[in-house]
Amino acid sequence: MLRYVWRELVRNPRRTLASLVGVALGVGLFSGVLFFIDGSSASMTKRALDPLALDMQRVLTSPLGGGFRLEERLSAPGELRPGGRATITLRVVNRGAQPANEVVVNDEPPPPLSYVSGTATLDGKPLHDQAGQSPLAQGLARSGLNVGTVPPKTTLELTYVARANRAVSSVAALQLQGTISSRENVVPAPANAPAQMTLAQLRTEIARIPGVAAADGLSFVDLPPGSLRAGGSTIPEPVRLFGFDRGYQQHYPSIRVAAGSFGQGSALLSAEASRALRAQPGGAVELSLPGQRKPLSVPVSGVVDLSEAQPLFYSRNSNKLEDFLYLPHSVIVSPATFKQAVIPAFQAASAARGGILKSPPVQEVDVLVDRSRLHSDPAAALAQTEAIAQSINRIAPGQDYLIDNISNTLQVASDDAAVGKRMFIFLGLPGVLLAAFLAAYAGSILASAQRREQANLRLRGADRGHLRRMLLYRTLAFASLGAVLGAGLGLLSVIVILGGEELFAAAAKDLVASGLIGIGVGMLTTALALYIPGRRSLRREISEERGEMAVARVPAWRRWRLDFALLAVAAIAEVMAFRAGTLDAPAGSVYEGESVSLPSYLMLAPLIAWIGGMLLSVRILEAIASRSPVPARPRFGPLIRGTLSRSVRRRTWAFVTGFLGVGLVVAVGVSLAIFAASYDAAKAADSRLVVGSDVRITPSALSPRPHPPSFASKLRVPGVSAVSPVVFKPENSVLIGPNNQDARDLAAIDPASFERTAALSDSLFVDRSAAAAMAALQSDPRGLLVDSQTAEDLMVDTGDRVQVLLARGTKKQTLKTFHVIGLFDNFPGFPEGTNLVANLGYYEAATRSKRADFFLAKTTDGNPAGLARAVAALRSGPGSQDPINIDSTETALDKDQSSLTALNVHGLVDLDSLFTLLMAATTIGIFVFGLMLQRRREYVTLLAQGMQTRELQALILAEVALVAVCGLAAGIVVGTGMAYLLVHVLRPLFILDPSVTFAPARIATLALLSAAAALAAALAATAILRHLRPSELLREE
Amino acid sequence: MNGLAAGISVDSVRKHYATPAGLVRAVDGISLRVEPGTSVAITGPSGCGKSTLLGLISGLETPTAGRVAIGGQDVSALSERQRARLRRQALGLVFQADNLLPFLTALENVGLQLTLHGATNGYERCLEVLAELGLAGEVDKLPDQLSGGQRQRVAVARALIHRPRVILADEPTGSLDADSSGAVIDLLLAAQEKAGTTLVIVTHDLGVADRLDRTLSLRDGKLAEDAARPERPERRRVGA
Repeated sequence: MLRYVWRELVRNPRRTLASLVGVALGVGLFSGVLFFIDGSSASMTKRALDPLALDMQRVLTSPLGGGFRLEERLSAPGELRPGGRATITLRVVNRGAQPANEVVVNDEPPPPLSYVSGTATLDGKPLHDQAGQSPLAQGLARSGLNVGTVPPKTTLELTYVARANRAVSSVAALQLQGTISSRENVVPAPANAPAQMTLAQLRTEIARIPGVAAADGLSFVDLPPGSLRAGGSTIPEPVRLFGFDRGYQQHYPSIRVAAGSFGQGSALLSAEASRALRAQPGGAVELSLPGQRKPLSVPVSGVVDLSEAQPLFYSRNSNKLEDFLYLPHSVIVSPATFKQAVIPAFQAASAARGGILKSPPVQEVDVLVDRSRLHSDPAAALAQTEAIAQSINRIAPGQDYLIDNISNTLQVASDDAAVGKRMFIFLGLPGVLLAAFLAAYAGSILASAQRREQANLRLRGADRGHLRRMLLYRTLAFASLGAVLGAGLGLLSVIVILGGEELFAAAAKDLVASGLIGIGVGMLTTALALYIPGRRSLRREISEERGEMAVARVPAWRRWRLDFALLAVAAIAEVMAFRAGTLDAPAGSVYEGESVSLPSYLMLAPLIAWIGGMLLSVRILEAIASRSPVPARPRFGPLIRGTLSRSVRRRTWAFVTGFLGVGLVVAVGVSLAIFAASYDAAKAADSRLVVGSDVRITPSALSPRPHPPSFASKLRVPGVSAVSPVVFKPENSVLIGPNNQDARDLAAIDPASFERTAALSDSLFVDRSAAAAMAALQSDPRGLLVDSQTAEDLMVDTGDRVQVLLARGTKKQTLKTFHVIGLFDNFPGFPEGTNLVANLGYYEAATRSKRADFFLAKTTDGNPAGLARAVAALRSGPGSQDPINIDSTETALDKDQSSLTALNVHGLVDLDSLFTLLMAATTIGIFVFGLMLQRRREYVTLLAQGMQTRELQALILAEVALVAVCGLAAGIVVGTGMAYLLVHVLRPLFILDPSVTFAPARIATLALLSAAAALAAALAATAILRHLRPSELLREE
Repeated sequence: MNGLAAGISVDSVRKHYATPAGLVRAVDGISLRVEPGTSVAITGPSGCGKSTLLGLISGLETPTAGRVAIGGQDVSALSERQRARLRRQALGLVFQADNLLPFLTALENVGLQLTLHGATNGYERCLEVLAELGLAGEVDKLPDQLSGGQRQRVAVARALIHRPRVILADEPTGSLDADSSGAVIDLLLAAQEKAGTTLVIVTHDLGVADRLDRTLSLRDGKLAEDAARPERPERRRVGA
């Protein structure tokens, strides 16, 4: 039996090829998508980590602590019987040079011991119980005992007695629970904790951990205005004092040394501080430190540009970790200076009775993970970074805490990767369904020939069991061979599109798993698609075989109105998604640990709409075809049209099956082309929103020149069509609403030039158009645009009068009244967001400030080449005389975007397009092959009747063209509908709502190539006709 | 050319096929001549080359060697396009299988032949012919809705509608019962008699062969016997 099936496959190569090619292409597409995801996941890890400034921060909980600890011991025999007693002794030891204030000792006996009332003592003196409870753990909160101030070099001793409530076999195994805290070290430290590690010790220990590329100590403290002086000048604003060495600067290159260098015992000044104090290397500055009467004088050894030093200025506040809170006036001293001069000063300030430090120093070890050793898959990389984090946490537990930014980011990226995989599997699923369809289609074409052979076999004694087994073997052969070939084809095409290096960067097990999934799913679906109709065919007798004209029965899907049902399901899924808020803008960013969330039903909707839409198209086409006019008697009509119109009208099924195949394939191709175009447009729109326009020019901190708004005119270089100045600083204002007030980010813009320059769109505004908002801001200088979240938080609305403290924290600070003229959701040019937008002219007048923070520029040509030309002109023009930083839409990488945006969607669409074209050609090929198989006698009869070959060619071509054109038309319509649903899937990936963007060139290419395939197939068919034996064919019964 | 009978001339015609099993000599050097307006039966065992010879005469197949002429026109020297024109204008073909186009009604199947012939309006004549063949009530039926005999009569009508000079019939009664078979042969003979058409019928049925002017027997691709009848046999009327 097996041998017979094998011979049948080998001796009918065209038939075998027709059955295999569809399966191979469909499985090729599906497994290609799986391989593609594996290959591109490496870029997801990279994309997720690129904007990350700090991998891990191990922050000391007691930066001022030192020599202050709690020792606890339990005195008792080795074991205790029930009721047995033990004495617990706690020693508060302060070996430091400063007193410890408001020291709180907390302790409870370890279970099963309990406190014996009235036994607590302090330095031998009895302590009163509190409501019958131990003074060391009293009240509902089990609060400890405040022993007041512990002077330096002194020890206090506390004791109490505990009773065993049940037998204790080993007293030594009991876990003691004492903790100690003080005003200086507010985080409770456990008793008997190892001696507090210094920053240097901690750094050394962490640096030894495998996978850690660098561990650098960083200390900093914020000093109040007036703390920094040089000569006769004083900085009237807050100053940040850093302590780190050259190694730190080398590991974090965003700290740029503009002049001089690091030197022992000397300081580097930020460019702004250097300029304000007119202090250059070789000079000296004085720092006023709390707790020290005499200012700290340090020589200046260099000037640094810290304006983009994210590791130094990212907020350490857990709910604002991604905020870049830049302080322009900074001083960097060596770690030794910080340790020997700054920390003792703050210790002294803290130890002073009643002294409360508003801003204590922060000491941390910043850890740089060796990213080159991280796995390309975010989930695997996450396991690696978590292992590193665990190792770090094992060092000196309780003395500090770890901020694990890299693991948090990878966690989100890993979740995103899983969502991406799911999303792209859904994009690849049509491949499997098409494989099944093409297998079934080819099977139906071959059915008549096979049924004839089966009848012959039955005449020769084969029973239905034999035929069933043959069907099974044949199905398995087609499904397995097609699936394996498809998986190979998928791998090959991904190598071509993605490149072998990127593909094989993925783990081998992932690639093997993808291959097996592709083969397994492909085998299953195609086997079902081949076997089920085959079984049905076996049940029919050969005498029932009547060819094409017999297929007049209304198919089940039409009787059950499956097309309408599927479309209704897709619509319901969309409505559900809309009502569940899935289509709303993402609430936060990856730094807030929010990964993309995509419900499966939202991704199923396009698939369901695809099938439902095409079935509906078939219903409509059948209705049209069955009503299509044929030349009425007494005319036959023109030869081709008369023949074709009757053929299409009276055997619609053959026609619509081909139409359905082409339509299904084209719909997938069109939807993916639109999906990719929409993805590109959304990415570009996001980039423009982040940058603000095509280019953003920020004067460097190193620039010695002022940059008033009029500097915009100097930026109007060739290639730049418009420039607009912007004033902006984080938390530079306070908005005072009717009931509440809060610090907010304010931007001041020139509405006229901003409208010409910036990437404004109506969708950004809540209650008016972009043009109306700009016009209102122009005409009403006291107008204020407020972001919708701030409006909600501070309960202000359009039309309200509010007060705003402008230039907050500077000597130009002033309170002014504004009038809220509109609300917005997003404003272009502010990656971190802005809360308030005011008129620049009014802002200048109110604050007497003549300084813009950055400038937006619009290029004459918005394309990448035009952008590059404009950037080059800016660098060679104004940038050559005055240091400026230039960001463009090409370089912008927004951290609010999901790491899914790193996925090479274009590559995926190229892959899909390739297979779509091949499958469209295959469908047309199978259709024509089917025509040749089923109608060759008809064609030969027409030739025998005197029809010329070119007329027959025209007849075949006309029918194929009709199938291709109708299939293309329906495919484009259904594909556009699918794309509309697919684009919704993109919503959580971007800041702005992606809109459906058509891809006419790609769709036209698909249409033209499908038409070419139809023409080639028709020509091939007539060539085949020439090789047929008419005499034999015409004699066949 | 229509309406005037044409003679057939076959000179040393060979048709050989290369197959995996070796060279097949389907027709191997046959020469014959059929006078205009006469009827000829070609008989012989299965596989002797009867149908291939008919295919060569109709121009559906080209000879490996030799010459076939109809009405003095060398068919084997014609281009494919010219052969097609010859078939649509001068030949009427009937096969064992009716070979009707399944999506056309009986009337349209016949009308298509007229359209191929170049006539833009000939339905009335089609209706007449079909009525003559006893199919007046079946003209709008599809082939699937007709009996085997009715289908074959439609096929004959299709072969006669454009008044061909030569009718070539390959086992036209092979799949019919005796009554239907007799009726079809009657139709062909009546047409031949009425229009003076040259008629060539490939048949196994000696009864059919006996009713024609001449019988040619083939064996192994060669002409084995050529028996002419001195007198024309008695012919039954059409539609009987």
